[in-house]
Amino acid sequence: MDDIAIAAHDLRCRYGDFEAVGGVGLAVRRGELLCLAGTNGAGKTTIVDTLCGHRRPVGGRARLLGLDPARHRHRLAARVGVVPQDPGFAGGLTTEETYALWTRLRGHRPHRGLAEAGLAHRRRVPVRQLSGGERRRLDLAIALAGHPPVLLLDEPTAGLDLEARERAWTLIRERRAAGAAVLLTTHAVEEAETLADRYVVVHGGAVAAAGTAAEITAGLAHRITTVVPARLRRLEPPRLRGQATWRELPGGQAELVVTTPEPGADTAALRGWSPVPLDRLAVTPPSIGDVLRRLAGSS
Amino acid sequence: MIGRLMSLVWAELTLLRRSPLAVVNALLLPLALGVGWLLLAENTGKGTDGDTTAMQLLMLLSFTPYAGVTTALAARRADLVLKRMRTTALPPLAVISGLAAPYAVLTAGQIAVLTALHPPPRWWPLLVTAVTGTVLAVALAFATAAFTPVPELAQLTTTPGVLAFFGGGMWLLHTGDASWPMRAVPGVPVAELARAAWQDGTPIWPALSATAVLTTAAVALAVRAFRWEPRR
Repeated sequence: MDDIAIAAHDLRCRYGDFEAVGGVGLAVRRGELLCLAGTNGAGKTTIVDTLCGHRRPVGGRARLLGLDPARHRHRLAARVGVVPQDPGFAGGLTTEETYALWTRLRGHRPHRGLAEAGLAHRRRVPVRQLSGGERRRLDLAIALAGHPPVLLLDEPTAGLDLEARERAWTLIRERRAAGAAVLLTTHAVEEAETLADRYVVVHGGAVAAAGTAAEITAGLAHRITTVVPARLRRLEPPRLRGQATWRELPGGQAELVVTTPEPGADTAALRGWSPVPLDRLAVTPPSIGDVLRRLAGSS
Repeated sequence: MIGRLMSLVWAELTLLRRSPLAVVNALLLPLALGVGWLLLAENTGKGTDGDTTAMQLLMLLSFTPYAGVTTALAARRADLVLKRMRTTALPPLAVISGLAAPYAVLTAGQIAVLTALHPPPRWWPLLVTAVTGTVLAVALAFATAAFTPVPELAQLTTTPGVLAFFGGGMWLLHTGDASWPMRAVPGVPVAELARAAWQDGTPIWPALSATAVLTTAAVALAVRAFRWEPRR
């Protein structure tokens, strides 16, 4: 049996003359979580929509469990859980009715999903009265119903408060551990870093980087931050491999930030340079968020 | 499949029941107009029982399966419900049937109430009218919904269709007999079929053929123009 549950090969999608996705490839194995990251308008939602079967690509191919989603939407319904970017609920039905309806339409029996998503106390409330975050939780509850082997989650934690986000990540983590292939888009890439096995970073409709977080961020600068007395600015600058910037703080203090490819050497250099112990010293490795910031800055 | 379809029908019926505007437009208004037309016909002494029932049916079809389904489809599309429906285990025809079924059932109930007030001598032409008229109205609703971006615009976009039903019936009442060109107006063949329930020996195949052609044309237009998600 093919281990790859979600696949896109040279995927190309257009809106009229505008090429939203131009040759994207990705593959997600069972039990793996791939984070599709990108700046706004990078083409993430178009890729998810195409994988859901909502649109046919103008080139390349998409496959879910070996099937073309545009041709086999109905066969895939029970085996693919989707959190779309926009909810798509009728506001006049209650939370419970909405959960039951969409779970049944996907071919499953409604079961404890509302409680798992923390919505049991809102089950009799019309969907139009739910907050954006609560609707997101309802979406996730519907997507997870029936333990589908494939999950396509477009911004599943958008609008959620901290507790709800943690609950959502826990649910997603459990499903991945149970063998589901998960494709996730999110703006909370820092949070997703604790979860994602691999990333595909898209920019301008094309793949800008792909691999594990370590592979993608290799070669990017670390950040060293520390707080020192502001008077140290008058000393001869430390001999660093990276670049240092200062920010004045109240009480005669200053924050020193060093962006460097060699954090060990520069931390040692800072320690040797400062006549006083370095306060609140922290070394932050590069993140996927840094990659996105660079891409956003480059465009 | 049947279970899923029934879930959809029940959900749509719940939405209809919870919307006061939909209840008025799809249930109370056509019934009130139908009863009003009956009282008017009895007071003026004009028109036969067949004519009265034909006009009542056209009012029902205009409001309940035609305007009602058009509005519901536009609302579900604007809410992205239709888009989501496409990723369910239900095929498109089942989705369409599920969305229209509550309005069709409501229409059947309304027809039963109105015809009970003065039953026809021949039931089967009336049954044929109810079935073909509802199918035609639903098909026209899907075609109209293709040009109705938001539910608020449904009152405007359904006006030509309502006029085609109601005006067609009035035209037939005025002329007495239908010619083939007249049957291109949806209200004419439907009214002709309804009147046949009171006119023994009247051939119904011309009206039935015209209804079938109009339904096919509306379905073809709907298949071509209908959108499952809002225009981006």
